[in-house]
Amino acid sequence: MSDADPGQTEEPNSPESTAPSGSTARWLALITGLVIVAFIVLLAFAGGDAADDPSRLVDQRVPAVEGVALSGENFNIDNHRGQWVLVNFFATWCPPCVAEHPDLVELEQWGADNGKLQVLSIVFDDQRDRVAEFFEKNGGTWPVLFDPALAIKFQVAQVPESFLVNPDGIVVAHVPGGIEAADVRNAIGE
Amino acid sequence: MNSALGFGFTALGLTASVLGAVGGAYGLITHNRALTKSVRQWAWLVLVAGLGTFTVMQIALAQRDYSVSYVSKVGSDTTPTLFNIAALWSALEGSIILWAMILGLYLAAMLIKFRKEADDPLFGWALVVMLVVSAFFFGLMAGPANPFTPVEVAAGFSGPGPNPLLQNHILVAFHPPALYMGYVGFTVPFSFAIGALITGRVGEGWLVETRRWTLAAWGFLTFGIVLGSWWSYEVLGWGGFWAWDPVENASLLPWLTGTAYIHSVMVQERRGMLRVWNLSLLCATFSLTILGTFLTRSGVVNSVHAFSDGGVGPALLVFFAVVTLVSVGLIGWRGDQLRSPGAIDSAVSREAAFFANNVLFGAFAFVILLGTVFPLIYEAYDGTRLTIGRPYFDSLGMPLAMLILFLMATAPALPWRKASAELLSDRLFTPALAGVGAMVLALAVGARGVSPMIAFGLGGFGAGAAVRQLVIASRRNGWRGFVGRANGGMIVHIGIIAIAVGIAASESYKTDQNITLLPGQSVVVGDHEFTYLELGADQNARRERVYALIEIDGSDVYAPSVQRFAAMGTPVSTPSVRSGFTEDVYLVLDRVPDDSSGAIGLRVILRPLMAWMWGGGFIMAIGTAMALVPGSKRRQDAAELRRSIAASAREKEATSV
Repeated sequence: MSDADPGQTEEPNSPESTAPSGSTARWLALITGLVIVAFIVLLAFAGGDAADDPSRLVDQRVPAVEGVALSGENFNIDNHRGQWVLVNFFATWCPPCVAEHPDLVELEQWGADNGKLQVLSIVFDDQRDRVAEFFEKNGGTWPVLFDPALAIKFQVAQVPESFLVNPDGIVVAHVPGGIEAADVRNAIGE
Repeated sequence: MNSALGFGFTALGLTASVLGAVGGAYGLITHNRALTKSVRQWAWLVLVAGLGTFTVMQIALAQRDYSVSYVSKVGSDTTPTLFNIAALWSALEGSIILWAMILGLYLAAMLIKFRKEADDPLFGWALVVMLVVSAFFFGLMAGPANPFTPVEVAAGFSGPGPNPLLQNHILVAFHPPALYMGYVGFTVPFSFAIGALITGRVGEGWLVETRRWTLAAWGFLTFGIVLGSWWSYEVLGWGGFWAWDPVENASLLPWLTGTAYIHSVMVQERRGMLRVWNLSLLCATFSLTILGTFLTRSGVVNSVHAFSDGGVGPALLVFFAVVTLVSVGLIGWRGDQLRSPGAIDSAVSREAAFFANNVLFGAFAFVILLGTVFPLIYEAYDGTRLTIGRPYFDSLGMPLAMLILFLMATAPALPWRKASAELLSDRLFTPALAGVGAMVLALAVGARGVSPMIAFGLGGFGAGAAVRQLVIASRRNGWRGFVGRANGGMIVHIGIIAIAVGIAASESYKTDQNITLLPGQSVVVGDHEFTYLELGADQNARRERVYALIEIDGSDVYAPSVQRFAAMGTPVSTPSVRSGFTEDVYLVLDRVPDDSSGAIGLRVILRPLMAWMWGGGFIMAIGTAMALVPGSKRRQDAAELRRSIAASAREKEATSV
């Protein structure tokens, strides 16, 4: 840890032996310091927003969704390009899901009238007969899929959660928790 | 009980760090020898505190002591022992315990290694810096991220256990500790760099003293990153190994600047050049470990790994500000003494190649940093969030990686100062032949496409250069031809080439198909036949599992599965992988039967040479270990140097009193 290491340096390391560049180093350090300060300010004020929408799917192409629905028909989300699709994850055992169901029924009707929206439900951790019974009792005739892999693809950890997919197949909104029919209609534009 | 004990050790760690740092700094400024000496005792206490908090938390986890807040978050009655031990680093608060303990271990290693230089002010300042860093981490544990907070739970309570994804594979026991050994290890050279700046002794001595520490930290980081991508590949079931996720980027950033440093430091040792640059790289590497921790622990950027927590983010940001601004300030202050003597004589020389290496690694780090924080910059400007993904990183990273491969192939042949054409053609002939050979071989087995072919050619070239070097060295020095920095470095090069070839082949020639199979049905994908035998299911207290038995080519049976953990509703798809030297077969159960037909959805991914990536990681680890063994010539140099350093330190002390 000495300045003059035998056999290591070829030149002596004293300040006088070198060209005067102290001011260069100082300027560079000053500029770097300012950039770092700006960066830190940015980080300090950018914090916290990410938690509002933890879904990485927003602005991304919707993952492939296809399969045989509860009713026996085939469903493939790619066949619904040109139409908005509301992808809803739910379970019959979850109270907010039961609470949002009338809104979904309303949206299905609205979508059927103007052809703008298709509702799709994906069952999260539930049984087929219970779901069938639930729909019988509470109404709704839209496709219902059973596929646990879809929850992984959509990174859904708890229900209800919904994704609004635009006519180009891009996810434009992620709604954790129950949805409101009016919000969805507003997002699509009456 | 555990709560109180754990908090006691935390308080001890914080107190010892603060007192040691303040006392040490004051002693050094006032030349108070007794005070400076006392720092060593405080440093030992920090080790005791680090080991203490770690042990208490392990005991609390083992006892399922849910009155400790961290255990109530990540413990559960049903977690198997191995994953229960690994639960310590499965969430934010616990990972800080690991950080503090490893820092304590490094501190102790420093005290032992440099016991003869104890009076050297440079070493004294390095200790002070280490203690400041440890004060910060113990401070986090005492304040915003206290894992030992006592909580009250009802009788019969069992926690949720670690995140299910963290109790799926044995690699979770190794990947985080290896990574942290790397991150924390960079604190040592950083503290020496700051010590050198403060004392004004910016010559080469401290570099020589710390280069092995840097190399060891770098080796651990490398190994940790490779293990992490292996874990991602084996567990996450998405078929890939690297997603350019902010956490992954956060580990790659210090790796890139660290890699740049271990190359450019040789230029400084040999020619005394690039001093400011090298100090800046060390400071940047350490700062980037803190920045990465901030980015991923504060919830600022979205990440699959993020353990977001409000209190820790601001603290980390303040610490990052202190570290970077103090470093930059010191470098600016000492700028006059850092002026490099000498200049690069020729563009075709070893030092020029190292310089080019640094430009490339620096550019790579910049590209990744920009891609990681650009969404934040954009958000500040536009108010909307933007996602930067794979295309950006792939399209900018690939050309840089190719240039780095090219440099790796040619640089070992270059002499210092200036190369002649004859010398080069002589030294590069065999490696170039190996490169051509690799391309011909690749063509012969059916590889096509420009970029992968360039990668194979450069890979062969680079491997040829490394092998040539090793052959020459071992002819000259016997087994010592494989140890020491230059030779170990060549082994590391072979490892990284294996990784590069593995990435090029497995990405370029990947087959990825989704198929639907009925029981008993077979399908051919690539050169393989897959038969779906039957569905099975089992369950235990912590999870239920549905698996499909798939026979590959009529012989081996693999079982990709979907698991659901009691603690978490989301089903987790666990792949089943047949790894081989030439190809990996990767099976994911995409859809479990949902109707009477019993059809499953199976995703089949074939990845040629994937295993080269993991093999390359092990070769790199071995190479780093070999590089740490002193070569025959260096051993004498080092002994001589240490004597002269001790002498000059005594002299300095005598004159300054």
